[in-house]
Amino acid sequence: MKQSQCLKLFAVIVSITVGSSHVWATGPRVTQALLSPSENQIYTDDFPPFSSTDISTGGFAAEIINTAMKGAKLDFVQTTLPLQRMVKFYLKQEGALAIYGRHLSFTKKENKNLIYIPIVVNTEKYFYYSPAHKNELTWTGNLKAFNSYTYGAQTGENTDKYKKAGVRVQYGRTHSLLKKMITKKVDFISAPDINMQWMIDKYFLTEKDNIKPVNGFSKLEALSVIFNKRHKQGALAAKAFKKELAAMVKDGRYLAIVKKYAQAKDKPVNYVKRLANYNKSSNR
Amino acid sequence: MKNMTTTIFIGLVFYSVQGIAAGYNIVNPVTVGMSSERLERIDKIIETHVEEKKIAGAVVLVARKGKIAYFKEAGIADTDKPMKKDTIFRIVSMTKPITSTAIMLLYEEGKLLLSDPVSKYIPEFKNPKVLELNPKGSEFEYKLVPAKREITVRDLITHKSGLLYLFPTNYYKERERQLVAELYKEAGITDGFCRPDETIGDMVKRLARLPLFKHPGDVWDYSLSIDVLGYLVEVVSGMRFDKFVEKRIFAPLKMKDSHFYIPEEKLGRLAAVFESDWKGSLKRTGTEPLIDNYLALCPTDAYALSGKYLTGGGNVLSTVYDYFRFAQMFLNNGELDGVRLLSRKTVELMTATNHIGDLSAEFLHDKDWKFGLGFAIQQGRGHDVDSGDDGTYEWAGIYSTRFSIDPKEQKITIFMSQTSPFGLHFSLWDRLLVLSGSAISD
Repeated sequence: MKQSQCLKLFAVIVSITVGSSHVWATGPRVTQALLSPSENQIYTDDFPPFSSTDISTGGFAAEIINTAMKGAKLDFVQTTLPLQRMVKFYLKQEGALAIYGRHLSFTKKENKNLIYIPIVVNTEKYFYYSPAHKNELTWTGNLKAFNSYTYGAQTGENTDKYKKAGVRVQYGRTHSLLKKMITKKVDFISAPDINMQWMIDKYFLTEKDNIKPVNGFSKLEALSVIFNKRHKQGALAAKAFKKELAAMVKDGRYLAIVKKYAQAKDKPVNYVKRLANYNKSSNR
Repeated sequence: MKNMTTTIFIGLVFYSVQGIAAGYNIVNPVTVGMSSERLERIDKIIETHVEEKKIAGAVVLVARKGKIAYFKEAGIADTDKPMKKDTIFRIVSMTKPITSTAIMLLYEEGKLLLSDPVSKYIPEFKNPKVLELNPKGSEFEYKLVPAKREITVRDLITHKSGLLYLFPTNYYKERERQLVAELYKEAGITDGFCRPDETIGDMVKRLARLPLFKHPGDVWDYSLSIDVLGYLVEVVSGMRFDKFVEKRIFAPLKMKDSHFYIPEEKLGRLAAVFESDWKGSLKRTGTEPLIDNYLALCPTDAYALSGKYLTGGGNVLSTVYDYFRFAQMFLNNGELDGVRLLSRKTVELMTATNHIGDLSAEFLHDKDWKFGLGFAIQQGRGHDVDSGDDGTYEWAGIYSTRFSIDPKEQKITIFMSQTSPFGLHFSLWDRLLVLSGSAISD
């Protein structure tokens, strides 16, 4: 075969290939993802900056999970839902591999089938709207001191202690609770510092100086990935995930992720320490 | 004969002077094949409704062959101001045909296809799931199954997406609808009649991740689909939705009094909303929202001079005259006063093509109403409403505003009041259509 013939043949092959790919590109009318859903689903709800579709990486916690799961060579799909009730639904009804999020509580019986692995330990504070309170709110160590107030609870949050102390409770999403606080329908809400700052910066920037933490109150709150033992991969995945997470903490990958999200007033290294202390104290 | 000619001449001069004096070109109805005597019957009907305190006031316009033959106001716009021809109304869902037009402008530019999955532009719509009930006695009341296919742009513009509005849950009692509506509420999804303090994109991205009520294409259900389209305009055009509509629709059509948020200098022209029991009890609404279970209306939101929320399903404030210009553009197959907005083929696709097959657009109507792209289209007369010829297309707004475009007779009828609840004005609207139809004299 002459060189010119070879070139012609090559050109024909190229045009057929390009033409075919064009047909393929416009042919299917549904996405591949729709046809091949992963069996290993991890669900969470909007909890910025830990999990949010507004953040290109998926968020602080989402990135930790992605890194650990990939490091452990576990195939999975992570989905951020707009409400917590659906997260629990996917775990209980659909048998998801794992879930994570705030205030995900389960019965003793249900907990027997769940494995909790803390991934971030946050400093949680109470916040109030200063124009609604002439004197700044100070924590006295007893919730009863707030019994003339209304607490804004997350939907699904256990509010027994507030009710017991005589504190009125209203439920909602963080956004709606902040709005209620600004319109003086709610007096105080609870949130990790980093979450509150994110919400204020995105939605309530003009109120930035008016939303203040209650003096003298802070507590540690762990955000855990909850693996489902009823899922065929659940127990094994939890074990591999835990191992990889520990490796991430050790080799600095965990700290590198924290640095992307941590605020100036809460040093990244504090997250590493808090996670280590939490694991130690809870003997996990 | 001479006397008669003189009378007609004086009549023509009177109508012309009246129209020009008000700044509107209102012609003698005879010149467009309409009877002025018969059109005047509309005066009586509206005035009676005002006197009986069923409505506070209204503006009615009837146009034929491109000219305004009847344009009158009656009653009050607010407790301290009369209704005027240039009174500004919350047209709410009459925004939907405007949003549909915005989408079709992008369609005509080849920037999107009706067959495109919405997830191509808004990834949150990938892998939709549909809520289905489990058999009675199951541990869980419902399950989520993968949708048969993704939602397309055409599903949105025709309300076949499987998305919902919350307020129809007051009337339709299917359990699946209630369950999905409750998830909407919990996720902070509203119908948008009370403007939330967020962007439309924030809302749409949450909505996209909630279960569908039905599989896309399987149902016609009035919904937030058009709000999604408003956000889609932003994504595809790269412009804020209100800016796109102002530049591409309001400005070329000279809809000078149409806005997403009212300019301060026009606040005095905005009508108040009145609650009516249609039996003589008429009350101006205050600052509190009007709540009826799943329906939440905030009439005072319209006084806001600015805001983040731009809903394609219900944001626009407008006048009867501006909406006439929008409607006339459709009747003219896409052009008005020498400005072409849409092609004839696109207008046919929107207003003269049934896109919902055997389904019925049952929300405003019963059987024999189909749906184009943004408009309900009458195809058959098996129903009780005398709404004009087959091919007539229309829609309405929740504060009792309506329009009807009859292409066969080249007739436009527009009625605007600001009356809540919505459903009680139907008999008045039906009569207006009878009167505008029976005034045709050629």
